Amino acid sequence: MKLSNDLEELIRHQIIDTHTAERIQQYYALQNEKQPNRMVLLFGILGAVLTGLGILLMIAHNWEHLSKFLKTATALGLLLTGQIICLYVLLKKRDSRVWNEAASAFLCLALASCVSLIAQIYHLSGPFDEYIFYWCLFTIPLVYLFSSSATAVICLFGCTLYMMENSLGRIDVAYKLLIYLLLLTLLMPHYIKSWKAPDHALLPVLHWSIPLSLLFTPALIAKDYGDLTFVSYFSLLSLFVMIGSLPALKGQGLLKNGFLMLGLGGIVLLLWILSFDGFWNSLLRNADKLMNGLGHAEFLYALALTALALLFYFLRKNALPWNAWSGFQLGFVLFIFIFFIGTQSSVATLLINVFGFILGAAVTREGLVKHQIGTLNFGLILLAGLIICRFFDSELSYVLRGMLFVAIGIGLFIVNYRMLKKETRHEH
Amino acid sequence: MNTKLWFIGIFGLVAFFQILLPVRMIQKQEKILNTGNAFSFRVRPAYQDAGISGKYINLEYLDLAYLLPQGEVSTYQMYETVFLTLKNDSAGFAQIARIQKEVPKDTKDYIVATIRSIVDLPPKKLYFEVGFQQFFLEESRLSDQGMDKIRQQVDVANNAYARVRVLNGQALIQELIMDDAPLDLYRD
Repeated sequence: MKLSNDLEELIRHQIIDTHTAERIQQYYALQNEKQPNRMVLLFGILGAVLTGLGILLMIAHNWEHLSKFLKTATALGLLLTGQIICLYVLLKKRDSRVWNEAASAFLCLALASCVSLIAQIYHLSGPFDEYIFYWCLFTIPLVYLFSSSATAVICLFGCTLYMMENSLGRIDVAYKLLIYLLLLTLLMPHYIKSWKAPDHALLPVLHWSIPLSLLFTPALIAKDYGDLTFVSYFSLLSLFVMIGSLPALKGQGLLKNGFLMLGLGGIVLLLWILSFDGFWNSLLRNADKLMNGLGHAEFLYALALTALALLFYFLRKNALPWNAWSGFQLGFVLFIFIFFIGTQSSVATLLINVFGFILGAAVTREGLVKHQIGTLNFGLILLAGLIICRFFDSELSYVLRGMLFVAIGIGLFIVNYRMLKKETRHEH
Repeated sequence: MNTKLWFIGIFGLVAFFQILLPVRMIQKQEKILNTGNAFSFRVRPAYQDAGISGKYINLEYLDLAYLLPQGEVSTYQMYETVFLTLKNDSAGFAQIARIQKEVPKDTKDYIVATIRSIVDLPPKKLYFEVGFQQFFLEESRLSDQGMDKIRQQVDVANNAYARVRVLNGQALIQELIMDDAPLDLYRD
């Protein structure tokens, strides 16, 4: 309405002619069709998913009244329906994002439902990772054919499930991890392409789901040389922080930046856990055994992640300026040194604590200097967490511990209050 | 050829493989039923209702345990995957003839299992978990009364065994026998 009013006014004042006004209107109509409202897109995908699940529930409800043949026909019919809808979209609705996303997501779920129904009808119980693998393989092309991020997210869930589903342990976890990474790589071109679309509604979902899925990987392969998993996690989380710090992602806001949130949160959690001497004592005990693990999956994965994090840093060095956050981006390098020291001496516990305190202090300082209340609090939480962790090590009385807790709480309150007051004064 | 045709061509290929996946699953089941050897496993059944996935009988296999010969040094670990070659005992029930870490090359009568527990008292005994522990009921052929009857039958069964078809590590429950009578899944 607003546009047409403006155009009328422009025609009235003879700034543009009616022909130009029509062309402008046509242009915006086309743009709107190509870039649908986020809510329409969201509800389109939700609609497809709910329809798929609804059909499944209806079938399940009447399941006992169907014969084996009818059950099989229903399962295959569900798949065929999804395929026909997708074909229709390819032929008639190629330009509609909502249709593409919804149809592709529906087919993706229809295939999953069909496979699980057939398995149940024919008493095929047992490990399902093989079927999940084929399901992933046959749904990944849909991501590209329909340029569908919703399908990419569902596929990613499938890939993660494939990696985790190993109930009978038939397949070596390292092999599974390799297949998972291969499947994930197949999804990457779509993810990278989505970055370039400025108004991609589902991009934040991908920003969260990819790092979330990857977080499972180091724990999955941890077996005989579990200590090395911490190296993997540090490198992986540092890589997340680096990716999340890229201007393209950082500019989108913190809530949409899953890489940065998970990376920073994960590193803080790791620093708190590692600030206790339990891990380091065990590392010192297992140091000789650790040397035998050099050819094992845990070591190779830690090495690969560290190499990838280093490579990423050197390739994107210009986009990652040196500041208080660099400690989180490059923390993995320092951690590897501390880890090696930890195999020889118990001084590593002290070093990791010092490292945590320096990181916390640097971020707190950055928050104070730049008047960023979020940054300030993040740094303070890291520091406060480290102090609280030390309470558990020391033999302080409960009263003293309680008083220190109260002191930390009051300290956080005062710093925030003063910061806010300062900000208000600046505004005035 | 224009882009649209390429897209439709690729989609056709993907759709074909998507249909092939469930079809191959059905074929696999038929192959095990037609060419696999039948083994009878003594079981302890338990009736289960798992909502959407349906009602089924959960089977605990009583003879899926293996005594390691005295003096043999065990390298087996919990949750390790092993291959169990089967044989029939004098009463006609399946027993574990051999345990291996590699796929047996000389027989097709083997199943894949995971070591569920290891009893360390000498002699060392291994217990296993297998993939074919759920026997889904034919809910289409049974009324509620029929289902209740099966439930009661399962609850009181003293002597139950499952007839399982085995082929190169894959196994399929063909029939469930309770107190010498097959569980009738088709009539009330």
